[in-house]
Parts: sequence; structure tokens; C-alpha cells
Amino acid sequence: MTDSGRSLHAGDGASRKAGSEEDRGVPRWVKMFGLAVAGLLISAVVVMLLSGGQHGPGRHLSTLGAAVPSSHIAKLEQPRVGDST
Amino acid sequence: MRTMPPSLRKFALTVHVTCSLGWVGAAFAYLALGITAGSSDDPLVIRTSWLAMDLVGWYVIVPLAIASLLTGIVMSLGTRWGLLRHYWVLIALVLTFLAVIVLLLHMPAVSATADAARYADDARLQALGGDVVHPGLGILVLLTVAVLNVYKPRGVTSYGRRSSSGEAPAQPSGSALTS
Repeated sequence: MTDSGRSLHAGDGASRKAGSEEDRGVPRWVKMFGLAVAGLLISAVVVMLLSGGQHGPGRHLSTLGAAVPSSHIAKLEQPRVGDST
Repeated sequence: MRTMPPSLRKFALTVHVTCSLGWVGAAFAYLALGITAGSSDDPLVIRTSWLAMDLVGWYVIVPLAIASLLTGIVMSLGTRWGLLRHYWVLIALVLTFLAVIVLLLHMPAVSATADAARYADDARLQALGGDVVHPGLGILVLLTVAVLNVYKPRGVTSYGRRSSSGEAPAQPSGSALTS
């Protein structure tokens, strides 16, 4: 993955001038990347809301939290009717 | 900022690449276990999958993730790429940091589910389900970081422009992260 042929900044002369103009401001790819991330986050929030809010940062902070809802885990750990133990 | 000598830079780069690729590979292994736990009808397979996810998560993924983050920071600070000078380094750092935070917040939930799976009967095991969304999104983030590291799209931050305005043009003395 070496990339020894590419300098960190534009070179001297005309190429350096072109590079500095190109580097001015936020690059287009950064803006597009930000829009994509924002879209993904909004989609994730919508999906979480539509699914009943079973997932969120608060669940991660719970000591009872699990990859499945903690209420589900608690239900699983209760003895069922008819269990001998 | 003083950069690392070439021999040290190559060593740090080797460690960083190894940890990063190991993290991606372990995440794929975890995803396979998570899919198996959610799709299998065999209680033994479900139970062992969750126990394996707990072990792989804590003893493989978490150490590799933290090592990847730390060695990435060392690589960027030890080369002329810098930590905050280039958008691709900054975005890769933020994504990696967020991935590590989400991982550390998610793993206790995995352990709780693995503990439930350890003692649950067959019917209860079927209700545990799997874990696909977290590793799937994590792999997506890691692959995004890998693309940024390989392609290194142009773009200097305002901090980078300010800090480089008083310096001589940098020589291609090396690179950050996985260059």
C-alpha cells in the first residue's frame, strides 16, 4: 500500500499553483461524503423509530442491555410455568 | 512536527496494517457467527455461536480495534500527513474512533446475550436471534476507511493550510496510516 510516488502537497511551479487552488475550500468529495453520512443517519433514525425504538444509545448504556432487547432477556430468564426448577 | 525515521515508520506501518486488516477479518468472522446464530434451528449451534461471538469480540476484535486506532494516530502524527491536516486522514480518524466507541458500547450487550444463551433451554435459544446489523455496519465503516487510506483523496483542512503556509513544501518522505 505504499504510495511513494505522490507528494503530500502539490509540487513546484504551475502544478503547485493548481494544487493550492484545488485545495482551497472544502473538496467536493467531502461534501458528498457528508451528505451520504447524513442520509444514512436519518435513514437509521427513521428505521429505529418505525421499529418501535428498540435500539438506541440508551440501550447500550444499560447493564442489562443485550443484542436482543433487555426486556426480552429478562423474560427468557424467568422460569416458565411447568418448569420443575 | 518531527517525523519518524524510515525504519521506524515501516515498522509502525506494518503493525498498523496488520491490526487494521485483522480487525476487518475478525469482523467478518463475527458477522458469520451472528448470521448463523440468527438463522440456525440447532440449539447447540445457536449457543456456541453466541459464546464464540463473545470470545471473538472481547479477545480479538476489541484489542485489534484499539490497536488500529492507536497505531493510526501514531502513523499520522509521525509523518507529514499529520492528524488534522488532510480531510481523508481526519475522516478516517473520526470513523475509526466512532467504530471503536460503538464496539465498546455494544460488547456488554453481546456478553449478556451470550450468558443468556449459556443456560437457556432450546425454546429460549431460538428466541435470541442473531447479530447482523452491528457487524454489518461496522464492516461498512471499516471498508470506507480502507478506501480513504488507499486512494487518499485530495483536500487540505483549514488547519492544514495554516500550518503548512509557513513551511517548505513537504518531501514525499512517507505517508500516514496505510500508505
